Amino acid sequence: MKTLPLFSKIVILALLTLCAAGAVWLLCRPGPPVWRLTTIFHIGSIIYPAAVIDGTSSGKGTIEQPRTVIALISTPEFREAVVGTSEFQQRTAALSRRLVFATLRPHDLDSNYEDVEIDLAAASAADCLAAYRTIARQIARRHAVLLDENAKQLQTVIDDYRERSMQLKKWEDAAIKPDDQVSTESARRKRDLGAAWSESSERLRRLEAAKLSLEPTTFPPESEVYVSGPLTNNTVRLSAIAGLAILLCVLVLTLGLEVRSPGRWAART
Amino acid sequence: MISSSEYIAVLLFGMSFFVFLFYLLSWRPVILVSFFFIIFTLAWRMSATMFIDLAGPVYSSQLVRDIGPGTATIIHSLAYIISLVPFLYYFRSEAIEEWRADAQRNGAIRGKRTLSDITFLLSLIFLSFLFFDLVRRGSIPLFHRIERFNYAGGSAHRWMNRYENFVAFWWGLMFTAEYIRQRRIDWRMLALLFASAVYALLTGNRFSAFYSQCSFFLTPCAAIIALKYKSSDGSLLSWINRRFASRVARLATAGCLVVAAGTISFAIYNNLANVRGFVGDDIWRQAFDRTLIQPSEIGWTSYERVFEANQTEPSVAFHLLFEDPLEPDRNTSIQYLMLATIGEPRTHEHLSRGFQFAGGFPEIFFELFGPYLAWPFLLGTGCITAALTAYVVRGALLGNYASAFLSLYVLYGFYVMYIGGMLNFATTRTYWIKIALFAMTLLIEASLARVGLPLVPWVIFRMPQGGWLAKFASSRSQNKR
Repeated sequence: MKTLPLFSKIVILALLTLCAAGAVWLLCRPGPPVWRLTTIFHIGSIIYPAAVIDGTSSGKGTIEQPRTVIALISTPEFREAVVGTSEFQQRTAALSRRLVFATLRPHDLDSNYEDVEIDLAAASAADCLAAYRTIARQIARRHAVLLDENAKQLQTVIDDYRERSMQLKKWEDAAIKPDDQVSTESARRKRDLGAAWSESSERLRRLEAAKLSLEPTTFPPESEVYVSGPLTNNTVRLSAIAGLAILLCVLVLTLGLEVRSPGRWAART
Repeated sequence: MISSSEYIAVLLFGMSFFVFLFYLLSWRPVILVSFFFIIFTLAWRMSATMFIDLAGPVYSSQLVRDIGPGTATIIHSLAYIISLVPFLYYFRSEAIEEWRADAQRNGAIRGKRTLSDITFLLSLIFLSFLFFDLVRRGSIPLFHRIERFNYAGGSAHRWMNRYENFVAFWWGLMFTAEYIRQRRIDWRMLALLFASAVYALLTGNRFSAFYSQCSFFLTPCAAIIALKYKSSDGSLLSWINRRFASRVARLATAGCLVVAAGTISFAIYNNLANVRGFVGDDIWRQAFDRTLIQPSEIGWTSYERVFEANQTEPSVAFHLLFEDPLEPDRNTSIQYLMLATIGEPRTHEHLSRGFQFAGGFPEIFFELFGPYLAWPFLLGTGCITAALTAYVVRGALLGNYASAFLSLYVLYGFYVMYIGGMLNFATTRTYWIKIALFAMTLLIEASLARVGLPLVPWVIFRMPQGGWLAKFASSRSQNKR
């Protein structure tokens, strides 16, 4: 290399640039266009009756922790199920299956502990939405079962407290008789029953209020889902070619300067 | 998901950049040493981009999302090569030969005090005060687990923090001057650099302080290589092999490298484990993220926007970079890139805490000029940078210390652009004052050179022949004998 004249070095570099351009042209062939879907869904809420009864917190929690949902979506089984049951367009189904399986990604949102972002790519916008529908259906079905179980559990507790409250009321009413002689024992009993009934009613009120906070997992309607595309790697290819063309121009310019340099001409002659 | 042919293209283009760097190391070492500060960053970022492209999807904890795979490496590799190609012209053999012929080699005779003596004396006083102030204040960040940016220190500490790169450059320039003029290794300057590195370690710095100080010290040392190394001597590696032929020299070099690597590793570990409180795997996870994901995460997401999704908005980018930036006094490019990647609330939150993401080059060019028009601008920027770097090396060789220093001062704006994508450095008035000063200095130096005078003299003063100072100096020289 050191013995080569500058002219030869520039020519070698120019040829290398052309080879690189050829490599870009051949290796980065634009694949079929791809669409990308990104959306955020909201995980529904359940109630922990014990926490409501204690009064330590609102008792509200998510049906599933976002990280559990993310772990679920990340499993190959879930992806397989989505790919297998989505109604892709016949023309693009094969590529969409491959793309959805490889690109479906859930993300945790650090600003909101009840939301999960998902993004995926498919061979058409319709296929993106088809995969999205399947994901929404699968998760909504799973969460509906969990929400239903929680609602039943909560209702059982409410019914229990309602019954307990009614019973206490009956006992309290029975304890107050018009002909009853005022004694310390009966006054204390009446007071205890009153306190127990009051506490029970308060818990019942809290449980019934908490019941209203139950909410299912919701997915945004398809009209609000962001599908971008068609995405293609052709811009990379064309931009890289433009960059290599600039490089080639520089080398040609240097070559021109080298050839035209009066000092060099003088040295040669 | 990338195809196997794209995978090959990523590998080819990534490796071609490293081959290009190897060529610079072996055959054009003056370029590599003079521009080491940026070349090292580009190599690091290239590795990170390749990792994201080839190993993706990888999780980015700062962006809270997966990034990769893709073909960003192809674009970035080309952008880096196009930025470095002008150096081949400005540092061509003929130009270096010319500088070498004009190199200022007249040293000082006995009894004269030179610029490097004065530099050493002033630096010694300043560093002594810096260490004294650190001890006097009682809280040493390394031992008291204080984050480097939380340690306020005194005014000397703040001054050093702000100008340490320029100080290291001046020490490097004096080291080079001593080597060229007196033909000796100036251990005093190396000792100053070492003391400054120790101070950086004590004040809680991790890697960047050592890397930047050493790089800036090394920049003018390219003049020594320009003087000593000729391409006819074979590749630099064989030249080094010949120069470091003795076992002692090799052992000493290896020892220094091991000590430097050990110190930096300790500083990073101490910061992550003891200062930031990470434990177990989290320490390695943090170090891994910082090394292989964070340098290129912003670049990769920008690639995704511009090249994959065709979402370039040059007018919006221009507006947020120059017309109505979030914080106009700081690097607006990274602010724009953060805004486009993580949204406004989180960007504001980070900026208000004084934190910003790494990266910015070359992606800001593609965001601002689009995927095609960015290339000529990248080349133009590379030409200006190469020319300024050439002035640094030429100045160090020719003994034009004022222009060498001022060219670095102007070049620093471009350094910031290569590190963080900053473009608004050129819109500040002070930057144009620096350029005017630099131009004036070049003119004055050229005029003075015609009558054989330097703008900044090498010999500052002659020791007086009589008096107590001369007696003291002569008694010291007699003692030495």
